[in-house]
Amino acid sequence: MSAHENVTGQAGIDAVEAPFWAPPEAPLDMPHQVLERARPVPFLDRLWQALTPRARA
Amino acid sequence: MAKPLPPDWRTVATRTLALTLSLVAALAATVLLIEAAVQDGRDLWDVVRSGLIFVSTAWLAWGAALAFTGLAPARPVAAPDLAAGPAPRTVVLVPICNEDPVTTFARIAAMDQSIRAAGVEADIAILSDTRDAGGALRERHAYVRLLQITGGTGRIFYRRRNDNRGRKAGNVEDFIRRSGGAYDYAVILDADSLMEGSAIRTMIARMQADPKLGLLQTLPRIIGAQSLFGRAVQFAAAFHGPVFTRGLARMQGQTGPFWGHNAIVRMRAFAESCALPELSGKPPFGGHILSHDYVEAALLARAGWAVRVDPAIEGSFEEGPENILSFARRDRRWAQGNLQHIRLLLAPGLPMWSRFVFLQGIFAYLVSVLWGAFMIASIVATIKAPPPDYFPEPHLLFPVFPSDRTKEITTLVFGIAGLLILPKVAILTGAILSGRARGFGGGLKAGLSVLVEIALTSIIAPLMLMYQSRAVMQVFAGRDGGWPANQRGEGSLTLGQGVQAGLWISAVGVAALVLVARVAPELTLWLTPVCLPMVAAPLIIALTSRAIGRSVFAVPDEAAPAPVVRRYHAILAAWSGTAPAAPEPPIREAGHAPV
Repeated sequence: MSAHENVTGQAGIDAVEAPFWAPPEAPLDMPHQVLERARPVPFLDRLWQALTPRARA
Repeated sequence: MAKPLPPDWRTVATRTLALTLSLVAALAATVLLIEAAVQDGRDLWDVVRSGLIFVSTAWLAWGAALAFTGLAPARPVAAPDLAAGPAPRTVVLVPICNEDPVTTFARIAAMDQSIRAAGVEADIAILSDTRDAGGALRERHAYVRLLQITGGTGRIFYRRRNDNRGRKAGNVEDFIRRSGGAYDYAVILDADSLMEGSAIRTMIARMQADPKLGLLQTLPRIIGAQSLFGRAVQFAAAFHGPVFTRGLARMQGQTGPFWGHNAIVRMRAFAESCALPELSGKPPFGGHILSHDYVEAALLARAGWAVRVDPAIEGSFEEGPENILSFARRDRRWAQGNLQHIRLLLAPGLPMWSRFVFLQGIFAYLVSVLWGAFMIASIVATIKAPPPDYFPEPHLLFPVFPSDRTKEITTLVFGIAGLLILPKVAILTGAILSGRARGFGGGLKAGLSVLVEIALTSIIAPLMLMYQSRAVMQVFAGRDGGWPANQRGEGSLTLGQGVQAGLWISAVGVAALVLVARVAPELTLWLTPVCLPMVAAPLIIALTSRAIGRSVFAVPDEAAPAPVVRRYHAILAAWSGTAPAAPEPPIREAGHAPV
């Protein structure tokens, strides 16, 4: 008998339907860290935005 | 945000000494190469070769410096015990993803028993990222079985994420966001980790004793290896590992490493500083941060927390790759993860040492490409060299023979080999003198194991150079290797599998030998030690995956496995139907008063 069959056989299928035991609810804030510097908008993009009002809007 | 802790004078002195040694060795190698190369005039290829040998030798010398720094034994310090008062709230996190649930949960059962025997109150949370439904179902069965044999209801938790965002780092982050407030400390493990309860007790006590300590990393010893390759890795990790890690600890000071598992973190510190963002752009350089552990260590240091590694904490274990193929597969993931750190070299606010650690990780993989490039440049330089001019001045009566530079080249080769071998010889000498070698079968047997390990490493090195170079080139070509689950338990390989995995290396080896023999025959002898193992790659891959060479590579954990390892084997045997499930395995441990 394989290990999987052994475990499966002994645990029984009913147990699988039982609700899972979830860890306690105790939220902790994890603020996202900044790892990249903001990239400057390339010159051509800025020029394009300045020349095309629709794009600017 | 607090400022990063400044390094103390010992750390600064150690870093300065190691850097100086590396640069001096690199400079010496470069001068030797230039002296040997100038005999036929200087050209562009000599400049390229000089640059490559400088960087590659500096890298090797840096590794040697780590070992020499760690040779002196640590000063004996009385380990603190748990502080009086309410028990610290601790959780052991076991992130899993498509693992064999039977072995994984048997390890957890063994650790739970060991933790309780050590008098530690700690919950265990199994955090599953398993994707396929069948695997998830098997995990649920194994979980129920785990609760039955441990009585762990209310203490051992299991939850599976539907959204695998952020992989392991995201899995841990999800737990902290939901439940982190319930704990002071989290011991982070891998699916193949095993830790003694006493080790966890020591780690908690260390965190209590030093309120600025954000993370404490242990040195996991590799266990359970069966193949020649696996046992060589296991031996090297047990014999050389503690010395290298002690050197690392001295070099890194309070800006130490995090290897992603077998470590304890202060929950508040980790929560406030380690939520990783996705990097802009697509993988392999953008997207989720793959090698998250190095980044988390750097972020903790950035936020003013100390990160330390202590190889002296006993009772920390993991499993290692059993063959070259598994090793290369893991290396492919690590290559991508480390090369992704190029994006983080200029991340705002990091301590300079954290940036240097990123650079080391990047170089660990680039150096293979650099060695390959050095060999190619040497061949090209030899081909391009003009024929010797025996009469450089007109009207000379006697020919002028070019000076023989064999001495410089031989010195260079032996010098580079020395950087690889000397640290190991020094570690062996130290182990014999201190009596540590007894655990490895005695001085003679340990010496033989070191010799065989050096020989085996030399044979395997060209194969690893090829695998790593391919990985680096794939990453730079934009190929995302992903982060597939480990193929744990993958053992012996057939010759057919060896051919499948190594035929391309053989082809490159044969092509290189034929090419060199035709265009630069004087280099054939020099390149044979590199090309021959490449030609024999399939055979080497298959043979080293077999359980041969049992007379070498003895380690203390083979002769006398730790209590938690014996517990694990007993539970696994019971679960696999090869031993009765009850009664409890008769394993005795030093008991502790409950806290």
